[in-house]
Amino acid sequence: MSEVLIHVDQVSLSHHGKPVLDKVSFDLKAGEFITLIGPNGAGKSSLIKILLGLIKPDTGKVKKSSKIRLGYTPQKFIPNEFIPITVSGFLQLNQKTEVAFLEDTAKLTGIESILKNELKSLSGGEIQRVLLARALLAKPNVLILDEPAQNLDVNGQMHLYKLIQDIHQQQGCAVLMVSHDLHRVMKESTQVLCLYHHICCMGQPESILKDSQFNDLFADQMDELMATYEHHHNHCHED
Amino acid sequence: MEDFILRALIAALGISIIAGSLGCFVIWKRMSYFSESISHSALLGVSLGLASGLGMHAGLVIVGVVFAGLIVILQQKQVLSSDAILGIFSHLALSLGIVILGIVGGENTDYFALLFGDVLSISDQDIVWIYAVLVIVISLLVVFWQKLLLLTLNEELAVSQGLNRTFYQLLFMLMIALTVSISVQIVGVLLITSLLIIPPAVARGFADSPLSMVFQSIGISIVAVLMGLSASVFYDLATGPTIVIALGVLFTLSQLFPKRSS
Repeated sequence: MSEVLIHVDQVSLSHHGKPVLDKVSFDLKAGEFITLIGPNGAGKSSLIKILLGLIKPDTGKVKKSSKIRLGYTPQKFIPNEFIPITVSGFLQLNQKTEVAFLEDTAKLTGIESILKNELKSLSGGEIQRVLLARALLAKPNVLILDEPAQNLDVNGQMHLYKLIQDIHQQQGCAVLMVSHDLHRVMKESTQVLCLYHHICCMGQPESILKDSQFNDLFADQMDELMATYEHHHNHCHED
Repeated sequence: MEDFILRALIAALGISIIAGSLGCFVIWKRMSYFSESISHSALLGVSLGLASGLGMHAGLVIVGVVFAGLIVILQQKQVLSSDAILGIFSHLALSLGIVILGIVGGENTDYFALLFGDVLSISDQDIVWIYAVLVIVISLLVVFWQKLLLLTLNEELAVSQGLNRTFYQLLFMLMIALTVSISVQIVGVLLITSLLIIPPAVARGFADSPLSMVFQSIGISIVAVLMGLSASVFYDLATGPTIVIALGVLFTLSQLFPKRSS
């Protein structure tokens, strides 16, 4: 049995009288890769905020293991235009980092050429990679990624997903990734969690092709990285 | 040199260093209207401090922190938009201050000096207070520099790394209240905000890191405050407005130079 790193127990939240989350429970175990999917407004980001401690649930509990080292990439990151800070300065802010490790991480995430650039001058795709680099510098055993591939074109998405897959495989850290794409999830996922205020369904993505397929890390077909998750809802949502 | 001029210079130097550094965070956090509202509560602080016997400085800090706390609570409850809440507090604080000072202050209260600053009013005790605040604020900024900066850049990232948002929010409010409490006598209640925001606004165009922006802001603040103070003494002008005009001159000049980045 792998160790439970985050235990979410019957978490409920409402906003202006409307239910946002309804008795959501699940565990994130060491080494797992959970993809959290759901339509816009399903409560995905609220759930992430509760996991991080940014907001408190109305009822229910989140228990985090004492061994947890969290790396997180927020959904929205708009660089503050008034703060003159470089990418390198941002990466090292409030975390002590050895130069060699910083360089390795920059190389891994493909940002070594923009380390001296001002944070506010970056494109959307560059910001996502810088955020991932910052999360990795925390040497995490849990990565929480809130829609990391947003604002990226297909090519950029593919590179980013491949990178996340490499990190999951090589560093063995648990990943909780949010995606608003209901039908395509990474093959890497060990669990897919479909949320619409409550957990609609949970399970393994179909047709995961095991290890041998993943050895080819540089396969440049999106389909090599993505699997289809078939939904088996046993209920309907009424408007 | 006359004693009062020397005291004013020493006081002004201390205030410049504090306002110049803390002001960067005011600009970064877009909190200039927030600090405006807190500084408007200063008259109420003066009058309650005098009436209660706690003294002006204690009254200023207590009232400043209480007002800041009330504003933050109302903003979190989202009863109204943030700028409306600040507008209400800003003017309510000023009005309460004037009325209560009228009741407790006696006939000799110099409203003009409180609203626009007066170099003649600086005592030795004030200087001790200013430099005590300088040590406190600068130490807090040095110790919590990285954490405050990360929270300013992105709260979610900071909280995910275990930082307590409320603690740093309170800390920031305390620093603003302390800064207001020492600036009232030199620049006056109505003009404190310009001391906080103009120096970093000038520095912003030339700095290449957050830290260099703070140092440049302090430098600009010292130059402008000394310029304004001297002009105010030699030509017998109202201290606060003269300092703000000096700041405005530096700001205008800075706009004529090419920027590092836009």
